[in-house]
Amino acid sequence: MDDTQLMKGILEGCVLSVIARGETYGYEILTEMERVGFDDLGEGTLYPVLTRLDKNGYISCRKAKSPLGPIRKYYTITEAGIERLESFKTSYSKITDITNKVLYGEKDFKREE
Amino acid sequence: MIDTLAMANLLKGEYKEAFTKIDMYGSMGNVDMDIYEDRIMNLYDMFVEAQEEGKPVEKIIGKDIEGFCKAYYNCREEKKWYVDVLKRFCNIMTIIFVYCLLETFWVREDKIDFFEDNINIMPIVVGLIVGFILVGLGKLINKQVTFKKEKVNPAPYSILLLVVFVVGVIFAPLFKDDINISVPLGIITIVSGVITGIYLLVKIIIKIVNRDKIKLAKEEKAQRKEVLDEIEFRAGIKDVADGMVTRYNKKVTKHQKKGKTYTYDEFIQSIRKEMKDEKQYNIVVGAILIIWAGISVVRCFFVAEPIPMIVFTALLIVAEVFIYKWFVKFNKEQTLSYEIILGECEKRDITVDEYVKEME
Repeated sequence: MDDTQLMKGILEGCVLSVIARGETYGYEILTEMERVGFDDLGEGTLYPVLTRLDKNGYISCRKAKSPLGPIRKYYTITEAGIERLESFKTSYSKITDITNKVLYGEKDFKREE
Repeated sequence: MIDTLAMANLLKGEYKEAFTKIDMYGSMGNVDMDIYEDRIMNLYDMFVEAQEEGKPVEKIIGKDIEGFCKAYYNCREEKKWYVDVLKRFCNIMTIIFVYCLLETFWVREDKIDFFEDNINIMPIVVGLIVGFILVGLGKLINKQVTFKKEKVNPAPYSILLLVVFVVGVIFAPLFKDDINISVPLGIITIVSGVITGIYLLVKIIIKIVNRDKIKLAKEEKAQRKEVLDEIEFRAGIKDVADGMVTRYNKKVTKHQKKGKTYTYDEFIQSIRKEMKDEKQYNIVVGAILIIWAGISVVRCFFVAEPIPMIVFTALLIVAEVFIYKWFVKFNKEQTLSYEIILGECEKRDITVDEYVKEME
């Protein structure tokens, strides 16, 4: 299976989770995602995710001057975004449990090596 | 318009090279202007912070810069392509409508029959062709130049696009009589007029419905202008410092040829004198512009046909106001730049040359 497709499915939820911790901005989100292990996540991938979340009403955006000078977009999670995040966490847990059972868990599905 | 050159000049090394390429792709790649400005400002903020932290630029944009640009400028999520096409079509119709009105009521000296006569729309057709050529050229530059070279200078390509635009749009009307693309005046005026009317009405309704969003957008635009002015000013300081070093070196060489010496302290004193004389320069330039405008006003009373002279004088005065405002602003910023540069050099006990080297 292509890892890129797998990443696409979970990226929105992960980004939303980072934003849920408190108002943040693109570079901070990128740094946090890199810290937890998403090494190859660049701004080219992140920006469309943020745009989609904003368009769907899961996050709100305000523009303000950054400490270093340029205009910066700050993102905050909305009520709809909180509900979406909870829904994602529930779905993700369920899918992970099932997948783990299929890949590593029950005897019936264990492949003979 | 955003001064991305000033923004690039405040970045260094691989960040500057990457920013220049991404900016070229956006400005020459037929990307929607709002999307381009939004993306480039966002990226600049990221680059400034990442550069400050010493992070390699690859961490932000990945290894494939061309792929990054395609993904980053993709605006499918925000703007539908057909909305963009519809907007461009309506803008073209507006231009045609204005052109028809000018032809009917201003250019043509003889009486016209609105429903029988034809109109030559050759300048409009040439304008459209020039538009397509510019889009194609921009894409060609991106394909063959932007990502092929390690370091790219966008200036010659921008000049090329500007030359094509000027040649096509300004010189085309000169050959209007030689190439005739006639269409019925009445039909094209009515059709373009109706479409323009509907388009303006829709725009007004959208403005009324979205007035809160528009108010916010205006505030954001004002904020962005403030930031961009600051960026331009900071980039300008570097240019002023470079200019100071060049001037000093030229003066030293000139004095050496005469067998004299020219010290750094003498140079700094000359700069300080220039700063004091700033107001005098403004007065001299202002006086010259007033005298020039005054001569033009007086001539209005003595020419056989005063109306063209009055129009010329009015345009001259407007142009002079802009020139004077620009000159005063330029002088003020230059004096401020000198103050900052000399202040920093004195504080850290370094020369202007050392200051410039630190900025690079």
